[in-house]
Amino acid sequence: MANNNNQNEFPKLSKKEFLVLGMLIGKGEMFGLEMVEASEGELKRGTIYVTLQRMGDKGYIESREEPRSMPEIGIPRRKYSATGLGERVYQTNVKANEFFNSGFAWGGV
Amino acid sequence: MFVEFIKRQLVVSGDFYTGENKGRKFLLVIFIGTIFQLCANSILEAVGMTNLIAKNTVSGFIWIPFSYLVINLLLKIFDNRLHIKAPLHIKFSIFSNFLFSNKNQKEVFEPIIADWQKEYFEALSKKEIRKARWINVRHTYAFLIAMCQKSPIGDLIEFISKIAK
Repeated sequence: MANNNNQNEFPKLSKKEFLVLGMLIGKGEMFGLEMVEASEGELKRGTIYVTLQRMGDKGYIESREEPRSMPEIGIPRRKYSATGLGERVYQTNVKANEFFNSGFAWGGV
Repeated sequence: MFVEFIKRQLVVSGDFYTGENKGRKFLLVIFIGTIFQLCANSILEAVGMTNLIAKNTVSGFIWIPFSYLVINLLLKIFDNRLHIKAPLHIKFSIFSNFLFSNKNQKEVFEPIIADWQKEYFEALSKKEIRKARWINVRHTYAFLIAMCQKSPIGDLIEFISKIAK
């Protein structure tokens, strides 16, 4: 469920959110642990799921239980993927970053 | 007097310590408990408690948890038999389920536990015991961090960091 009450507000992503969305858009569905390993130290095991929960609340990502071919004991893992809103927010942030770093934001030098 | 004392130890031990490893634990309880209660009685006498019933009651209350801890520690050190026991992540899961909402349990703690059990059992299946222990340490830390983040302390830290920005 999207939590953006103010639609005019620029949806700025935190560094971790940006990283997670970048990975999910680039690589498709991923497990939390895969993201931790792929981030090379940027994401931690203790914080990744709290970040993912917040992003899910904002509507940027969605998750589903890992499909199992045969009955297994234990808690099923969850696979995460970016939503349409998440992709749009990510692209907006990429463009904003490009604009900010291009020099145009500083007077088009 | 001494026979009565031993009988009392036996009764307490028999009531309190049941379950696996009963015989060995029972003898250890008698041995360590006797030594400790004698010491405790001497200390209480030195403090000024001369009433026999009061003295034994007080030393008994101290003796029971102390002996339990000492004996369990000794058994863990010297007992090399295989035991079937719940993995660490199951205990943490019960703990977080008690403390946090179902939403947090499902979205934060269950995925951590799912990763934990996957890595842990993979290491065990390859007979990498040290790696399994290391996985337990890593995930215990991760679990505690997640618990901190979802607790009022975590909310407070987040609030302060937002203000600081």
